[in-house]
Parts: sequence; C-alpha cells; structure tokens
Amino acid sequence: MGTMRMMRRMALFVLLGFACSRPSSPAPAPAASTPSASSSSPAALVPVEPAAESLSEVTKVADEDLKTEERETNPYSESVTLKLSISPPVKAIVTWGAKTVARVAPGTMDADIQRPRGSGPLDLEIKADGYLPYHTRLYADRSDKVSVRLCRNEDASALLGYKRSIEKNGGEKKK
Amino acid sequence: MDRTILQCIAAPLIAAVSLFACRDRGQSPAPKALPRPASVATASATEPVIGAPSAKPEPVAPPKPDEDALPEASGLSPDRRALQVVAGIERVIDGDLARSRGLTLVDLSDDFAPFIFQDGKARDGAPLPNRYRAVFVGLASDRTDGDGEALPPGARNYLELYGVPPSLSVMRQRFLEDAARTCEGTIDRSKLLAVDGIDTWGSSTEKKETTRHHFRGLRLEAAQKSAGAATLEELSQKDPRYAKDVKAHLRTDAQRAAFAEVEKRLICEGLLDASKHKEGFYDGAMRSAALDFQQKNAVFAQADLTRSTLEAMARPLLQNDFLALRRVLAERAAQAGRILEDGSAIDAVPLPKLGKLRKLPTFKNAAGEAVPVPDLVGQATDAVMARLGLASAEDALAFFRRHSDRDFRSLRVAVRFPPLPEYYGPHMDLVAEIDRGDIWYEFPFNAKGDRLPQPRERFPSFTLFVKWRGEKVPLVRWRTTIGGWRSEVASDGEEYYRYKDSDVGARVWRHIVAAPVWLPPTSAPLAAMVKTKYVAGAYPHVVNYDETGPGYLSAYGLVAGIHEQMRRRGETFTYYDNGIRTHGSFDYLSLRGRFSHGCHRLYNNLAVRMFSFVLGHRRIKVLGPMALGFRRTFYYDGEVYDMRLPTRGFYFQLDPPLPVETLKGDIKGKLQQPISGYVPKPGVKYGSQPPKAGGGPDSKAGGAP
Repeated sequence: MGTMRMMRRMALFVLLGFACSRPSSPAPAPAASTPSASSSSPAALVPVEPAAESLSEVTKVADEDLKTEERETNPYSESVTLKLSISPPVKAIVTWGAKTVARVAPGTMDADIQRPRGSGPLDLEIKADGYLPYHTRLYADRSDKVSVRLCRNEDASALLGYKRSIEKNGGEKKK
Repeated sequence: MDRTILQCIAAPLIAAVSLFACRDRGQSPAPKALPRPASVATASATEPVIGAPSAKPEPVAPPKPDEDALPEASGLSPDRRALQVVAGIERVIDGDLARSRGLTLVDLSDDFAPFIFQDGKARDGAPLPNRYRAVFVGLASDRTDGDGEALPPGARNYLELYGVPPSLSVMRQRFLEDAARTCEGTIDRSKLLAVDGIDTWGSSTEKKETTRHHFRGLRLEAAQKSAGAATLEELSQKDPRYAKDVKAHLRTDAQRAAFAEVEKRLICEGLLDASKHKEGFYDGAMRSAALDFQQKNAVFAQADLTRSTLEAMARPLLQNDFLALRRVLAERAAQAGRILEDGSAIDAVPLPKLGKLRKLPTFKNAAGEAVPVPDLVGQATDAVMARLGLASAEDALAFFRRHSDRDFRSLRVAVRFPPLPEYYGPHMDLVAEIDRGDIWYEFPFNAKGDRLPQPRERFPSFTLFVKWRGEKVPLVRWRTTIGGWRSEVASDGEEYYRYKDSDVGARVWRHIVAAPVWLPPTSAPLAAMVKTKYVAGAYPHVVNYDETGPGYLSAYGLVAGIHEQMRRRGETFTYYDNGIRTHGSFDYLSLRGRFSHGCHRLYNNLAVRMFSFVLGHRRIKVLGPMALGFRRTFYYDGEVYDMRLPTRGFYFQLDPPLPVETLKGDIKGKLQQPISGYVPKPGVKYGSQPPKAGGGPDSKAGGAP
C-alpha cells in the first residue's frame, strides 16, 4: 500500500507540471454584473475598462459561465441510481473490478445500478468483441447517468492519444 | 515582563528554531505552557481515577472559582449536550445555556467538517449538498479513501499535511494503541539526535555506499594500526592526510547507528513490518514507513530522514500524539470561533535595526491606543485544552480512555474563547496581499545546463489584512508561491522552458470554490492520466482523478479563490480570469522555496482555515455545486478511457468581491520583464525553432496551481 502511495505521488508530481497550463474550466464570454454597495467596495482598485484592442492583450477573457447543477429530488436519499447506456448495440460485459455488474445485448443496452449514496464512484470497464476495452466512471454521490459509445479496434487512430501511445510502444499496438 | 515584550523576544527565537526544525509557521504552533506542568507520557496500565485527591504532600492554594463552570445537566437531547471539565471532573452541561453565557461550543464530533464543506440552501430553501463533505469526514475518520470508498481494515490515512486532520476517534485509537507499545525503553534517543540527518539512496547506490564505507573502514583500521593510534580521531591528529576520511567514516558510523534506531522505532510504532524489510537497508518498506511516520506526525519531509524526522522519533510516542491532538484541536477551535490570527502576522512587520526588538503588529482600539494583534487561534486552542483538562499526554490518554468511540459522534466542549478584537464584525473590510518577494527573470541555466545562482532573500508571502480605523492591520502572513521557470510541452511535442509569471496588480476574489476541480490540458502525459487502483477485488487500470479533484490531491487543493480582474464600464463590472488562483496544495514541500506555474499556493489546512474565515466575515451567496459536464475520451495502451468531471466544485460568491493586490516584488538581475515564449533546454537537440507560445491564460500562469 505504501509503495502504491509513493507511485501515486510520483505520478501526481508529473501531472503537476502540467497543472498550470489551463484554466480550470472552459472560458465562455465575460459576464457583466453590478456588485452590491459595500463598506469595502473594491471600486478603488477597479480600473475603467480599456479599449477593446488592449483588452485582447491583457487576458483571454473569461468569466465562468456558472450553471447550477441539476437538482436531485432527494439529495439525501439512502441510495442512488446509476444509469449506463452503451452503443452501438452489441453484446458487452460491464465489470466493476472483479464483479460483473451487467451483461448487455442488442435491445437491452442500458444498465441500471443501485448503490448506497456516497459509497464511492464505480470505475467500470466495458468489453465487447471487436471493440476496444472502455473505461468510464459513474459517481455514487448523486444519481448519475452516462452514455458511452464503444470504439471499434480499427477506429482507434481517431482517438486522442493514439499517436503518442503508438510512438511510445515503438509502432506496435498492444491490443 | 509584559506579554508584548515576551512575544517580541519569542518571535525571532521561534523563527530561528522553525528554520532548523523544518516546522512551518502556518502550522499549529508548539504547545504552550498549560496550567499543569506537561509531563512526558508513558504507557500507563492503570485507569486514572478522575477527581482523586492529589498525591502531593504540600498544601495547595485553593483553586480560583471557575466562573464559566456550568451546572451538570441531565436528560438533554444529544444536540443540546456539551462537555466541561471542572476541577478535573467531567460533566455534561446544557449547550444552549453555555451559548447564552457567551461560551463557544467547539465541535469534537467525528462528523465535523470545516465551514467551506457545509451544505447550503438555495434561496427557495432547497438543499445545496456539499458533496465533498462526506469524503472529508470519511478521510478524517480513516473510514474511506479519497474517492469515498471504504478503506481496507487497519489502513490509516495520515492526511494532516494534506489538510485533513484526523478525527477525535482516530486520535483516540492512536493514543490507546501507542500507550500499549513499549518503544521508549528500546530506543536510544542519543543516537537519533547525534546526527543532523541520515543520508539515503536508491537501492543500487545504497549498496555501493555500504561497500565503500566497509572498505574505507578497513583502510583506516590498517592505518590506525600502523600509526599506533588508539582511535581514529588520534589517527586523524597524527596523520592529517586521513582527517577527511576519518571524519566521513565517523559521520557514516553515527548515521548507521541512528538508522538502526529508526528501524526499531518504526517497527515498534507498528509502521514497519519487519518481515518485509531487509535490516540495514532503506528499502521500499522502510521508506514507506518513514513517510507514514512523517505524515502521522506532520513532519515536513517526503521520506528523507531529516533532522526534524529524527527529533520526532526521539520523542515518546504519546508526546507526538499529544502534539497532534493539539493541532487537531487548533483547527476545531479556529472553525468554531471563526478566527484566523495565529501569531504569524508578526512577519508582516519589517525587521528592526540590529539590537531593537521587533514589534507586534497593532490595531487601534476605541481609545486610540495601539493594541497588539493577538494570536487568537493559539489562545483559543489553549482554552479548549484547558477546559478539557488536557495539560499533558497523560491527561489526553486518560480522556480517551474514559470516552468510547461512540462519544465522539456528537461531542462538543463549551469554552470561553478570548475576546474578539474590535475590528471583528459580520462584514469585515478584508484585503488580501501577495508579495512576490525577490524575482529573477533571467534564464536560470548556462549553456551547459548548470543552474546559475539566483539567490532570494525575500520569499513570496500571503497576507490577509483588515482595514480598520484608517490602517491596514495584518491578521496572518504565510509563505506562498509565485510562478517561475517551468518545463512545458509545446505544440511541436517538444519540451521547453517557459517563464510562468504571476499577475501583478489589483484583482478580486469573487468566487471561492470548495473542493475545486482542475482540468488537465490535452498535452498532459497520458501515462499520468491512468493509474492502477484496487476496485472490488481486482486491480484494473482506471482514469487517474487524483489531481483533477475534487480532493485533497487536486492541483487546486481543497479550496481555491479565483483571481479576477474587475473592470468597470459605466455602472456594470466585467470580470476577467487569467487563470491565477490562491489555493491549497498537496505539494506541501513546494511552499519552502519552489515555484508554481503562477498560482499562490497555501498549505491545505491554512487555505481551508483562511477561506472559511473570509466566508464567515463577508457577505456571501452560497451558489452551491456548479455543473461542469467535462468529458475527455482518450486512448492509452490499447484501451479507451473516459474522464468524466460532472462538477466544478461548491461555489460561494463574495458580494462585494474581496480586493486582492499582488505586489511586483523586488526584481533582481538586469531583466525587468520576463522572457516571453519558449526557451530551448540546454543540451537538448531540437529539430526546429521553438513554436510560438500560445496566448491568453496559457501564455501566463494559466490556471496554474
């Protein structure tokens, strides 16, 4: 367990090197608002908006387009329902670690899973003949749903990371 | 001698000691003298008798009346019960009555989470669940991992350095287990403290070093014999040619002796499984055990056997547990009192001339007198410890022996906190300031790739002020980070250096995000985006969500304040995000002089404390969990991975925003502006010229942790 912890930490430091190259979220259009009056108004620090051309040099303008999450009927319910929809219609096995949680086939490509709320996410693997193994996650801290589209083996080259992965493996595909 | 002068003398001493002891100023201070002399705890097999008469033969002065002692109450519902220790005897009192008397109820329950992780309510009364709360509580209680999944039996989290202090039940378990161990008699403290640290290497280098030491010993033994010297020291004096070797040999001998004590301590403390460890070698099992020890005891090191590690190992187990308990209670006290001042504000006062005492920062009271800014967190923690009767490790052990785990489901203690300074109020005029300290813009390597000296005397600092009666009064001042030269993968796939600057000037915090999420760029190495994880009886590959968060390992830590530029056009304001945040960080060692990519990192626990304080003393809107809906599908090693991040985190909006000023700092060297664009790494052959660096936030710090 300790070794795993150290390896995880090393991976984190590698990622941390990249952790600063993007804002935490996509950058939609700037938002305009009027702050309420205050005894500590930051107005003294606020410059008047400059001309548009100089703004473009200042920053990639981004005020987060905040949207509240869709509300749950009962956010404190004991259990949650996790829905998985798989396409295209093929025979597939959905596993969670060593456990098989669903077998789907054409006509029944959806799987509903009941889990105790807050029991940790389900990291699922979906396997189907002729398709690349697919890993996804369903969150159990809320009712969650995800649709996945499996990728045929021969379509792998269209995926992000394919080129880098192949170069790393010396031109050989592992699977 | 009054308190001010004492603190003036103590502060530089504390600063000097902390430099050597590798303790962080922002972390909980060392325990202060309590009413009873703190005795070193030893395992006591007998149950202490509460309220038993003192064994001391001397007559004792009658105790002062305890004005805050409330009458024992019975038949109360759990939510009204609180605890007090009065004259050494515990009693349950009425929490409502305590509050009406001006006492503060400090939550000691295992269900505790800081303010930023509390659920909110929408304007229509609908609940806004703060989902990370359950994970935080599970982590603190050693019940779950960072995903909220159950821990294997016996596993421990040790996440205090990551901003998740252990719960009281965990502390109870720790005290009881450690009290049953008999390490003290088996460890030679003098050997641990005889060295400044122990050199450690990887396995192959370690073997080489061991062999080298062995043969050097043989050579010196032969030389000693032929010189007729009784000791190696004598050989060194007789023949100075051997002096260097003798010194190195004796140093290594002392380190090896200390190493053996470290092994004994880790095994005795139950952190190292002797059957998995090869004696005398710093193998994986021992390295992991040392890291657990450091994290259990909040020692700032990453498995290196530093002086502070050895000092902690030289202390009795229960003494370390007592220090940990104090740190835990400090966080509870800070949250209960919505207080922040921890004595660190003295660092905001310029150093005086030689021979002069450093003055504490002050604020003006109603009479116009200058009053020192108090160490409220320290005083409140003292008050909690005193009210619980915890003057020593023995007291703490007795406390935990008389309480079961079940007691910590709803335990609170009623305490008289120190009076709040006059500048406190429901909406304080707070201002944050980041001083970038000494800055070097020059490229830090020569053509051979050797690092060039770029000394810094002044490191970046974060200060939170309150504006009060025409003055800016510092409340805390902590170390932080700024951007610097970092490696970056460019659009051509090559790795270059690039200066990641921290924005200078006036900004605001409009949004504070609890359990924020960070999105890795598409150029992030895919190997780091996948990990092996135990899942339901197997170890499959899964997407690595550690650094994206939400979680204590997130690149943005447990909480972040978003820096925005606020511009006015007429009556409306527009906000610009350049990717800079002030945030907590799991990378706690980076706060000791390393650079970020532009963001201002704080220790996770301090970030949680500070943002909780800000939210508690400003007008806010609880926006709740914000949708993100991020998804990235990628290929790695023949499989498809689907990264899903449904939420951005739990948002609070400050209304009005809180001003944040980033100072330019002192530019050292000749360059007055940072070099823009990519700079080739010395010694690396590139196929072409570096591509043009991207604009926008990416060209600057860009979302940098």
